[in-house]
Amino acid sequence: MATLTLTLLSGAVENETADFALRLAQSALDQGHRINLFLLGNASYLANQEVPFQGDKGLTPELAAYMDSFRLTGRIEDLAKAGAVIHTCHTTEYARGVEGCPYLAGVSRGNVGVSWTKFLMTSDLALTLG
Amino acid sequence: MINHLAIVIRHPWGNERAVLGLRTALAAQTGGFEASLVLLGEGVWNLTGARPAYLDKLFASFLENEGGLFCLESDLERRGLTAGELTLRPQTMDPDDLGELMAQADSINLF
Repeated sequence: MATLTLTLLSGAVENETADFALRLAQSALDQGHRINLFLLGNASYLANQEVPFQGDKGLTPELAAYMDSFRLTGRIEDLAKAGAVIHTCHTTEYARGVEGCPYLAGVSRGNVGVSWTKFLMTSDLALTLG
Repeated sequence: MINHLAIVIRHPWGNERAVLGLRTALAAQTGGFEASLVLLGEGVWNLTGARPAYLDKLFASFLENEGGLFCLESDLERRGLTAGELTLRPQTMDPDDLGELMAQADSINLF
C-alpha cells in the first residue's frame, strides 16, 4: 500500500483534469492505496457545497445535461467517504471570495505551508495535475 | 518517501500558476524538503523586470535558504533575454542538465 498526494490546480469545467484526478484517486483507493487530495487554485472551488439556483435556468435540457456532466461535488464527497483526505487552500479561496462558504462533507480548510507539506511527509508519490 | 521536489513553472507571474508554483516551492523548502525551482519556457519572464513585492519576498526567501533556481539557456535566448536584463540570477543549464535534475527529483510538479 502506498500513499499518493494529488495536488489539483484545475476547477470542474475549465478542462478535464479535475475529472481525471478524481478518477485516478478513486482507482488508487480501489487498489488499496491511501489518497491525499489538495485543492489549489481553481480547484479550491471544488471544496464548496453547491448553491442551487431556484429560478428559471434559461438552459435547454441538452445544455443543462452537458453542464451537469462537469459537476464533481458528489464524487468529491464519495472520495472522502472512501477514505481520501481532502484539504483545500484557504488562500486561493480567499482570492476568489469563497473562503467561508460551507465545505462539502469530508473537505477541510488547509494551506500550502502546513497541510500540503504534511501530506508530502507521509507520501510515497506526489503528483501535481493542472 | 519524498525528499527532493522539482517545481517547474511554465508561466509568467501574471498567471496564478506561477505564483502557486513559487508558493509550493517555498513551502516545500520550509517543510524540510530539498526544492528545485525550474522556470521553463514562458516561466523565464519571472526573471525579468519588476515583480510584485510579495513575489520578490518569496523569491528572496527561497534563494536565501539555498533553494535552487534554474532555467534553460535556450529559453532565455529564444526570448532575446541576456544575463544583464535579469533581475534574478538563476543557474542556467542545457536540456541534458535539466533531464539529470528531473531524474534526481522524487517528485516533479508542473505549474
